[in-house]
Amino acid sequence: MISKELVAASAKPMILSILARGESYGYELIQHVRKLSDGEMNWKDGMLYPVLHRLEDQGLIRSEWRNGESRRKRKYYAITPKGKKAFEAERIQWNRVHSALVKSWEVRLCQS
Amino acid sequence: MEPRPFRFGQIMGGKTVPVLDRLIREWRSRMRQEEAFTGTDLDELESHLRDEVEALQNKGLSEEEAFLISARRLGDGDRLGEEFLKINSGTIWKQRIFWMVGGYFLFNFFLTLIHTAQSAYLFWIPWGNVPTSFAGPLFRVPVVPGVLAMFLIWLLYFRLTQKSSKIGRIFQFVHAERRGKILGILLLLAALSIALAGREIFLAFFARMVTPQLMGQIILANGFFDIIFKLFLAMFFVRLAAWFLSQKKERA
Repeated sequence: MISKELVAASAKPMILSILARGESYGYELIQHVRKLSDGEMNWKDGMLYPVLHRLEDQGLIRSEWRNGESRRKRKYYAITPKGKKAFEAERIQWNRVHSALVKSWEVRLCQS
Repeated sequence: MEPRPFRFGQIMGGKTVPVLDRLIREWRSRMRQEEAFTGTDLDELESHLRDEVEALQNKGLSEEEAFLISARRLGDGDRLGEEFLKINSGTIWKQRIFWMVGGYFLFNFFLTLIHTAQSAYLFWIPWGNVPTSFAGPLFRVPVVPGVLAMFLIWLLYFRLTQKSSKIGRIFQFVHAERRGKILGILLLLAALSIALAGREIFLAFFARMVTPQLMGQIILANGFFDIIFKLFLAMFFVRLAAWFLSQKKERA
């Protein structure tokens, strides 16, 4: 199971990257994350919504109440141009962190 | 006839409320205890809850079981409320101020009703000098400039809050920007103060020229006008606040 801090830190890039592929609503987003992480990233379901609202306040995503494929109304979120830029920036940062970590592990392997 | 098996859905006025609807209604009223959630927040959480319940029911759980599990997964009001409070605190404060000022206006309106009844008792009934016509000069003195002021303020408000592109630059600034909105509201409040102060000065000036008894009647006429005016103020304020608070929605 991935730690709470790491889950919280990766929420923003995760949401942005899922929404970059197409609009979605809260429940579906959570299902996506579960599937992508093989159930290792466990969000306390309700906690997603404050994060979404904060991203909306920052203008990275926008929302709309709409009847989707079902009869019930849902609040759909979509990424904005500003959000796409933020997503690219996040991706570069996370890639750097990732590659730095990988390198550091390789170094250790060589030493041992 | 066999007695119908008892279902958890309550019978209310002959209509059966589905179990899930009742459970969700109870859940909403529990969540509403927390100040942190706005109405649409709860709508969104409810929509999530219903999705989850549906998914669990498809796995063979009963409605109640599915609801209990979904609600627990969603998180309890305390912890969720903490998170929502962080993002909603601005709105919550605005709403508090809104109700405070709205409440003041309502209080003021009732105070005016009482005061007017008082002066009616003091000036009219004992003297028996009820004006013959409500269109008489005594009523025109405070009412005509007052109504004019109300009309002008209302007009100014519409000019300020309208979206049309035909209107001038100042109005567009007022509409588009936060600072503009504050400026617009200050402008309206200034107009309101001038109208109010003008009436007081007018009355004070008039009071020097008439007998106390006549002044009593004027105060009474003024009181009648005040009732209308305070009602106008309360309504005006509610519209103004709704316009000011609507900012977030427009931007989205």
